[in-house]
Amino acid sequence: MTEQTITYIIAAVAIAIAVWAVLRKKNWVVMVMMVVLVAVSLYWIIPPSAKTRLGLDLQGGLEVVYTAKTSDGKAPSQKQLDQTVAILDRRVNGLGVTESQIQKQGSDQIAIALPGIKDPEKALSVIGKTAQLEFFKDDPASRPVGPVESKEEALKQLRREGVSKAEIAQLEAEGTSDDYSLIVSPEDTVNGVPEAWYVYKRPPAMTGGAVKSARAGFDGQTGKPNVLMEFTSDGTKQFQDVTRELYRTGLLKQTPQTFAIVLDNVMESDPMIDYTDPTLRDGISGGAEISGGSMSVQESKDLAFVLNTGALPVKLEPSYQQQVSATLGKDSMNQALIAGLIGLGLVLIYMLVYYRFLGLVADLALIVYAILLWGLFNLIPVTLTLPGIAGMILTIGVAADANVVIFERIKDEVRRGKTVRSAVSSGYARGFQTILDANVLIILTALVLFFFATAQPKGFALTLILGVLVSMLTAVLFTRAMLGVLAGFAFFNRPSLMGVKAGQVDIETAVMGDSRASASRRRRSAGAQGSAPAGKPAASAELAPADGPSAGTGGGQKKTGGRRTSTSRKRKKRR
Amino acid sequence: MKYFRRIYSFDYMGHKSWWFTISAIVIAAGLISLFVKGGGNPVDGLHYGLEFKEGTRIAVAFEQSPSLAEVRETVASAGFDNAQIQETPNVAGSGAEGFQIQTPVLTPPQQEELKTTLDEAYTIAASGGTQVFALETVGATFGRQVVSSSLKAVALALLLILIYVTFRFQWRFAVGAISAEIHDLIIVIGVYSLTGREVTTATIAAVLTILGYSLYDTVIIYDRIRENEPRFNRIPYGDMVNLSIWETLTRSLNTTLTTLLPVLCLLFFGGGTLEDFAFALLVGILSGAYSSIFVASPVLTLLKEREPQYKKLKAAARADQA
Repeated sequence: MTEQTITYIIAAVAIAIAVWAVLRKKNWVVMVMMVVLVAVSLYWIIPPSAKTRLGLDLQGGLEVVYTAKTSDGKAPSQKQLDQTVAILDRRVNGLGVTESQIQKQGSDQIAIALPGIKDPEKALSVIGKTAQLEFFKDDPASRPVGPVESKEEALKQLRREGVSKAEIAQLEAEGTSDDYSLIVSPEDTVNGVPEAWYVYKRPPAMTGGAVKSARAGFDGQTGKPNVLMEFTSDGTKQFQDVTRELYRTGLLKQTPQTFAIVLDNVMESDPMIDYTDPTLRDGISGGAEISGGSMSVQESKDLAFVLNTGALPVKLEPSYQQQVSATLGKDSMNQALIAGLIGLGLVLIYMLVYYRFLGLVADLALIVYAILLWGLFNLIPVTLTLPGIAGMILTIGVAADANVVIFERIKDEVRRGKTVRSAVSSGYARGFQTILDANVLIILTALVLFFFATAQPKGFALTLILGVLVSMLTAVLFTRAMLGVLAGFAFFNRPSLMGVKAGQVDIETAVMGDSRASASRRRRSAGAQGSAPAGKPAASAELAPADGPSAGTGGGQKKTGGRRTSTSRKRKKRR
Repeated sequence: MKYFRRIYSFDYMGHKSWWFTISAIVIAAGLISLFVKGGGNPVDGLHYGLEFKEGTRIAVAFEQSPSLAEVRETVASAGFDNAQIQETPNVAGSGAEGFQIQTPVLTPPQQEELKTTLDEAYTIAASGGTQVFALETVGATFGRQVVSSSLKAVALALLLILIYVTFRFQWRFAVGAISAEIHDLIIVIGVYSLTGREVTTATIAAVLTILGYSLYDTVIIYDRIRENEPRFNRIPYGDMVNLSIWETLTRSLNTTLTTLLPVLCLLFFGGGTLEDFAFALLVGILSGAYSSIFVASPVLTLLKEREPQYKKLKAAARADQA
C-alpha cells in the first residue's frame, strides 16, 4: 500500500467517525477526528517546497495546444487522435520532464504541458518531428553509458568520458547529437522495472528505413501483445548481420547479447540473442519482434501504426502556446500568495469583529479549512496553478459564508426564546439546509465548468469543487462540534455571547402579535437578563407610524411596549 | 391593523416596478454598448484578449534600456514587419520594466530567431538564473472554440440550476433564480463592454463561477421564504417576502462581504491574470447580491401573487388600507 492509499483510508475513516459522532452528539470525538485530519494534512504539506506541485504558470514551463488535422485538412477521427496522443506521450517522455501532461481536449485538440522545461524551443521541435526508429547494439562500445536512473546522471557519466560540453548541452536539449543518442527505457509498472537512461553511440546499427511493414500481434509463448516487423531485402541482410555478430560475441564471452529497438529516443524493446541456440548461428533471417513487458493491445497497435507510417497520423498545428520563464512564474506565485494571505486575514478579522466569540470559533475553522484544503491538494495531487490559487482564495469566502448563515440562524433561534445550547443544535440543523442548497449549486456549475472548459479554468473549477466540499467539513462539522463542546460550559449560555441583545424578540411575535412566542420570550428574558429595558416614549413614537393601521389600538401598544423598543433599535442598526 | 404589524422599514416588494426599471436600464446600457461597439454584432462588442485572437505575444525585459523606437527598429529589421510593440511597466507580472511584442503567429524557429535577435541586441534580463521572457501563441480556431464551449457550459449550468431549484423549492422559485442569473450574466458582460476591459479565458471561468456563487444570497432568502410561507399564511405574499428579506439582510450582507474581501485582495494585489478573475467576480458578486433581493424575490412574488389564495390576501390588504 502506498502512502497515499493509507492517507485516503485514514481520512475516510476519520470523516466517517466524525459524521457519526456529530449525529450522536459526541462532540469530543469529532474534535479528535479533526485533529487527526489536520495532522494528516500537515504531514502532506511540510515541507511545502517539496510536496506542493506547481503548474507551469507558477514554476515556468511550456504549454502547447495543438489542433490536429488529417493530411487532407479534415477533422481527425478519435482513433487517430488517440494514436497521436500515444506517440506524443512517448516523445515527451524522452524529454525527461517530470509531471508532463498530455491530454485530448475537445474533438480535435491535444494539450501538452511541460512544467519546468528549460529549453522550450527545442522541446517543440522534438514533439513535432517525424518518428525515428533505430536499432542499437548493446555492447560497451555502442553504449558508453547506462543503465543509470536519471538523465542528469547519464549526461554526467558521458561528460567524464571526455565528451565536449557543447555536445552534452545539445544532447540534453534535443536527445540526439552528431555522435550520441540519449535513450530512456520507460518505467515498466507491470514487471516493476524502474525508468533507466542510456547513452548510445551514433550511428545506429540499423534505422527504420530497413522496416518494410509492421503489424500488431501476440507473442506465441506468453500470449502478450507484441509488434512484428518485416524487413526490406536490404534490411533483412542488415538484421542478419547484426544478429549474427551478436550471436558470435555471445558465444565468445559466454554471455547472451542484447540489442535495443529505439523509437524516438525511447527504448521499446531489448531482445536477447540466445548463443546456446545453434540455429541462430547465421543470424536471424526472418522479421523482428518488439515485446515490451507491459504493452497493451492498444499500445501495440499504435506502435505498429507508427512503424508503418514513420510519422504522426495527423498534422499538428499549434493553436495556443504559452511559455513562462521560471522567474515570472515565481513572481506571480508570490503575488497570488500575498493576496491570498491578506484576503484570509481580512476575513478572519471581519468574522472576529462582527461575531466576537462565535467569530473566534469560525476563524479557527477557517484556518483548519486552509490546512485541510492544502493537504488534500498535495495528496491527490492537484497541480497548483494561478487560477487554482484564485479558486482557493474565493473558497475562503464561501467557507466563511457557511458560518455566517449558521451563526445568524443560531441568533434567530435565541431570539425565538431558545436556550443557547438548543439554539446551537437547531441552528445547525436549519442552517445546514441553506448551506447545502447554496453549495450544491456552486458545485453543479463548477462541474459544468470542469467538463467544458479548457486547461486553465479547469484547475479553477477543480479547486472550487474541492474547496466547497472541504468547507462543508470544517464550517459545519467542526464548528458544530466546537460549539457543542463549549455549550457544555455554563459561561457559554448567555445570549449576549451570540451577539443577541437583551430584549430582542421573535419576528413572528412582533409581526403577528402571537402570544405563544412572546410567552417563551418572557420566560427567557426574565431568567437570563432580568427585565427588558422599558420602552422610551421617543422610541415608540419613532416606530409607531411605520405601518399606518397598527398605530391606532392603544391596548396593543401597552402590551408590546418593551418589544417595540428593541425592534426599533434593530431597525436603526440594519438601516 | 387586521393582518400584521410591519416591523421592517422598507417595502421591497411594493416597489417591484422600480427594481425592474433599474435593472432594465443597466442591462439596456450594456446591450447598447455591445451593439454599438460591435458595429451591430453584439459578439464583437467586447475587447477580447490575445487568447481569442490569432497571434504571438512576447513579454520581455532587457538588461540595457533601449527606447521603444529602437526595439521597433530591431524587430522590424529582423524581418518581423507586422509587430505591434508597446512598453510595459510590469513584464507579465514580474515587476520588471520591459516590452510587449505582438506579432502574427510565429513558428518555433521564428520564435527562436526573434528571441536571439533581441538577446543579441539588448541582452534579455535574467533573474534567478532564468530570462525574463514569456511567450504566448494562439491559432485562429482557439478563440472560437473557447467561446462556443463556454456558451454550451452556460446553457447547461442554467438548466441544471433550473432543475435543482425546482426540485428543492418550486418551479416559481426556479424562474426567479434563473431570472436573477441571466440578469447577472448580462450585467457582467455589459460592464465588460462598457469599461472595455480585456476578456480572457480567466474572465470566462469567473463568469461561470458567478453563475453558481451569485445564487448564494438568493438561496438564503428563498430558504427563509420557504420557511415563512406556512408561518405567515395570512398576510399578503409580498409582505411575507419583505419580512424574509428583512430577516436575512444581515447574513446576505455578511456573506457578500466575506467573499468580497478576498476578491478585492485579488483585484488589488493579485497581479495580471488574477486581476482579470477578480474583476469579473467582483461585478458578478455585487450584481448577485443585488439581484437576490431585487430580481429573484420580486419575480417570485409576481408569480405567487397570481395564485388565487394570495390574490385574495393582497386584495383584502389593499381594501383594508383604503
